[in-house]
Amino acid sequence: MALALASCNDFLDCQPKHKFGSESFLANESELRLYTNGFLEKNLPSFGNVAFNIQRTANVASWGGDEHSDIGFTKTKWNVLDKTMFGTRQQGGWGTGSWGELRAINYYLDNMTRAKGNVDAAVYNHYEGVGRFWRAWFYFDMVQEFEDVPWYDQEIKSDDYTQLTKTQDSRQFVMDKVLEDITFAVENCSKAAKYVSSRTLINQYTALALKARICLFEGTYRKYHTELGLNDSERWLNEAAAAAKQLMDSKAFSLVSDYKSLFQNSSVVNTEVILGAAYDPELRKHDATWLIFSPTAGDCWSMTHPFICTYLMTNGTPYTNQAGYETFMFKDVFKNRDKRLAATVLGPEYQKKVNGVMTQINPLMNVTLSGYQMIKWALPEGGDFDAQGISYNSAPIFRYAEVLLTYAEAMAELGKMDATVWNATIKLLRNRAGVTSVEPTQADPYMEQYFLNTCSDKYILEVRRERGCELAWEGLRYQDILRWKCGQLLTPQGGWAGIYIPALGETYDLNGDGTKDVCVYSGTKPKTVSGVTYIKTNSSVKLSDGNSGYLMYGADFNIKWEDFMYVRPVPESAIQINPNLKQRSGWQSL
Amino acid sequence: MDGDMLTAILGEDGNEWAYAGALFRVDYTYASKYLAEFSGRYDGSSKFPYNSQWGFFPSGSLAWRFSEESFLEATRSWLTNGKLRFSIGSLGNGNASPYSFMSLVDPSTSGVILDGAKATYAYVPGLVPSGLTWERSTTYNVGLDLGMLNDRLAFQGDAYIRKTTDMYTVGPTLPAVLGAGSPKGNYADMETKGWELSLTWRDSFVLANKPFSYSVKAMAWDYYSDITKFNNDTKSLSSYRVGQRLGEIWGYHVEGLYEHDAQALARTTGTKVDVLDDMGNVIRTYDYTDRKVNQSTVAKVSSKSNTYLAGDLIYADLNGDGLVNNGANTADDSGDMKVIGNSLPRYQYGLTLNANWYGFGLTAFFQGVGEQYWYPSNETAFFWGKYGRPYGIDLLEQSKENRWSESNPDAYWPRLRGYVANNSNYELTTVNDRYIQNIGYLRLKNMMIDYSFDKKVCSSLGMSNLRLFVQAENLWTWSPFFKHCKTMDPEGTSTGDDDFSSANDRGAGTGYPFMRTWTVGLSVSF
Repeated sequence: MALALASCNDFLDCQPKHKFGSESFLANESELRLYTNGFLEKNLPSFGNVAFNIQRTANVASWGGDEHSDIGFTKTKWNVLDKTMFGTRQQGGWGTGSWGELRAINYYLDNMTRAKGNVDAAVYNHYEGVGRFWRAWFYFDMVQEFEDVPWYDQEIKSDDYTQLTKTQDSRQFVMDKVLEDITFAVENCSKAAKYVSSRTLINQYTALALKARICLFEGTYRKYHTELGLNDSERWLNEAAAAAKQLMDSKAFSLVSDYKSLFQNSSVVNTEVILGAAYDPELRKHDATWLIFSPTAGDCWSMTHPFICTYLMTNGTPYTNQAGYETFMFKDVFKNRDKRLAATVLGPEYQKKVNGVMTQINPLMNVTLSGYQMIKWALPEGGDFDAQGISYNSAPIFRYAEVLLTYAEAMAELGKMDATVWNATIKLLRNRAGVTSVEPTQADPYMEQYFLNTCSDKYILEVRRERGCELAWEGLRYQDILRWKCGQLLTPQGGWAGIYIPALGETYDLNGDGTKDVCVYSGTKPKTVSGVTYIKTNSSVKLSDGNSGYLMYGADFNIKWEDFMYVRPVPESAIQINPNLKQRSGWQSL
Repeated sequence: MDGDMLTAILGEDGNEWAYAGALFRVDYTYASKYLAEFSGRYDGSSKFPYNSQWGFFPSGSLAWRFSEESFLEATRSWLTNGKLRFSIGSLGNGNASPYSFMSLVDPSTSGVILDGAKATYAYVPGLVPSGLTWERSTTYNVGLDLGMLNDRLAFQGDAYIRKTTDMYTVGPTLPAVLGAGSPKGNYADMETKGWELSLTWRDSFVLANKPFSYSVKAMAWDYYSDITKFNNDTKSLSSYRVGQRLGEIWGYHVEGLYEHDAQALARTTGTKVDVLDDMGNVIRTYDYTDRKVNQSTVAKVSSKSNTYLAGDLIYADLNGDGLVNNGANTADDSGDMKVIGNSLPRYQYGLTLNANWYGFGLTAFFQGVGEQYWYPSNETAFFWGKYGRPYGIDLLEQSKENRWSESNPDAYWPRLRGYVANNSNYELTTVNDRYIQNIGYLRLKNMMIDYSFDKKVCSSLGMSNLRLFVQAENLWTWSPFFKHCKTMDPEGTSTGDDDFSSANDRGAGTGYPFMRTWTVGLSVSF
């Protein structure tokens, strides 16, 4: 009997065939590479994060972003900005989905010590840098969302209640740790071609790009958010400038000549992209072109008139210096403008493939809510991609233009902007956009008023203009607005403004081809003319001056900015499980 | 020793596991009055760690045929059989996932493209339970068998309590900063109470010089289960808790429909609003001063302004805090939620009828469930119709007569709005007691009428047997569910084909429908 049972026990020893035990994992270079591929799988922002929402690591990404900002809006209201709809119960981002990524990073850093001695010290340090790169990005995202968060740099054991139930650490503490991590990554990640050539792996350049982004955010946030009482914005701005400068001095990257191609190529391998989310006609596809042109499947991404006014004229002067610019009709808005405007918004010259032939088309007034239809991420042969899951253009995540803008902004904020800095940054971007580079002699009053008169520095305002035009709809605008402390821009009272319409009930030709295109009316519908889109005013859709003015959308959204909204609440469910977590003031429990 | 068994299984997913077991049984009967049985199983499974692979599961039963006792001789004229039974039986359930006690790394293909190909990656292993073993259930059963009136009347009754210990289930809820789900383990205990009854009457008499024989068999059974042990001190509703009735459905109370836009405005803003007629006279006043209720957390109606209007649902603010929500989501503070039903079937029954006369035969089998509740999931298009996806099915049950309008304020269905049964936290998606459905039913599952020709007729045709029959399945069903939904079967509310299903039970009711079948047959033997 004993013998029989002993053999039974051997019989009952079933080891998995397609998985392996974790006890000896992470002990050599190929296992470290295998694991760091997992960081990309789980954290690399997707096309959707970049193009439509917000640039954050995939698991911390929260809804919002450029599509709910001052530059653009969608058909759907963003409830976060309505305090009767969004409170501590509606907040997410604190689940095991988010924190699981930190556990995965800390598990890696805890256990990779098994590889010490098995791999070259430089290789080991590179891989440790990769882990710390991702931890820096994770906590950077968490601080943007929640400000104070508990810091963990080791995997928490499930019975370690002290760690599980601790309270938040302060923003200063956590951001100092983030700076330590990203600095370690900069100093230890390799810049060997094998880590750089794919534009997908983490290397010294990606670490520098992330460091520049983090430090610019934190520096400007601390500078403008005086309520925090943190007086060390200069330290962060200096770090941002230094990281950006180091990347520029490396000469490893440069601007590509065709701005548009950055958003329409399948390949992310070019001189400008430092890190990208690569898509492919066979392996990985998305829906962007379809979503952009569909009135029901997409969100009707539309751009705002005040933002469109910030694009310069080709001669380098502000559009808003022209007399009567306020009442320019659609086709005149696009005349002699910065080339990036027509690459971002559907203008009078836009061509889309219709029935196999490239055809000049009007903005689809059943899609765009403002008349300014966002087409930055649509493929030029649009008609061929008007279906689900067939678009394959890739999304740049870090690109060299952002690095230049970070350097320019940090220097301007430090009061160190001069011709040298200008020529190394803004001038390059303007020239690519077909705009003559003119250094400002005084603050542009339109830009001052645009930013609610919170800034009067001529250089800072020009850098902000440039950043907006260059990076529009790349998932960075929302955090820009937060760090500049211009939250009110997210909730324009009366709704978002679109194209100018001289009178209700009249039909107008948008692109100047001689045929009438659109009519905004109230009450009974005018006699229908074929080819004209009729828009009826209602509680949401209006003209800004009643019978004339800008086409407004979202007047009834009931959203209102309040300063507590700069930081999101801790989800109530998290506090229910761990009462030691402190709730932010302002947010209500609905 | 009856024998031993070794079983090894290789699953489709490449998982492999093995069972081994030994069992024995001893029977003893004395004077055909006293019966005893003792048996045991010794089971081992590869799904558990080495030191807890084996479990011993004994069972014993005693029975007393009291009708054989001499002191009951007087009752023999009507009591043909009487037996009292008592048993205690234990069983092991080893239905855990293979390898779940091992910390494993699972290499996978990434969605991320690296140098023109999808990358391979291996990532952090999940947490493993500190120990894992057999789930054990012990059943205490008492039963009574009676055969009376020359076995024309038979009764069988059982009542039992089943204690399930070391139930293999989800672990306690831990703060999310842990970064991993609490691993499944032997965490809970559960107690199930149930009974089963069956009563059979069979008899025959002479009708028109021919024997008429018939029988009626009725069965009924019921059970319910409560959790008796689980590590959930806060009594959070998001996992098991002590005292929880298995299958209970928590939801909100709906008071009715807003009768007027002014009522919705008054209640939403906590004000007094007058309704005026054309002359400007006040004809109605809705006064919600200091009684403002915000129900937008669980019962939204639109994605834009979310303005409530006449015909929208009024969610009750049971705890009077001005907000409709789930409180602390615990049994003690569930906000405005309460238990509004149970998803497990209660009071199940069956009825078999049989009659034979003059070559004619009739058999009918009814089955039913007394009570069972179900809240349709957000893709149940056959129930929600245009309240789900507005381009969805136009249901007859949601015609103008059944839908709210100013002239039809007492309708079952609210103001027609798209997506309110589709998006989470909208007025119909949120589980409430107005739209929860009792899917109990009574069904004529099977009926057969047949006629067997007389032997003489058969032999004259050179046959030994000739029988004609008509049989029908699912001929008739009654359910309270049909009041508001005729497009689904009460037994067809689960998710159907894999193509339509996912974890959150989307697309319930898309399964293969119940068929009503008619069979006409002729059976001949020579």
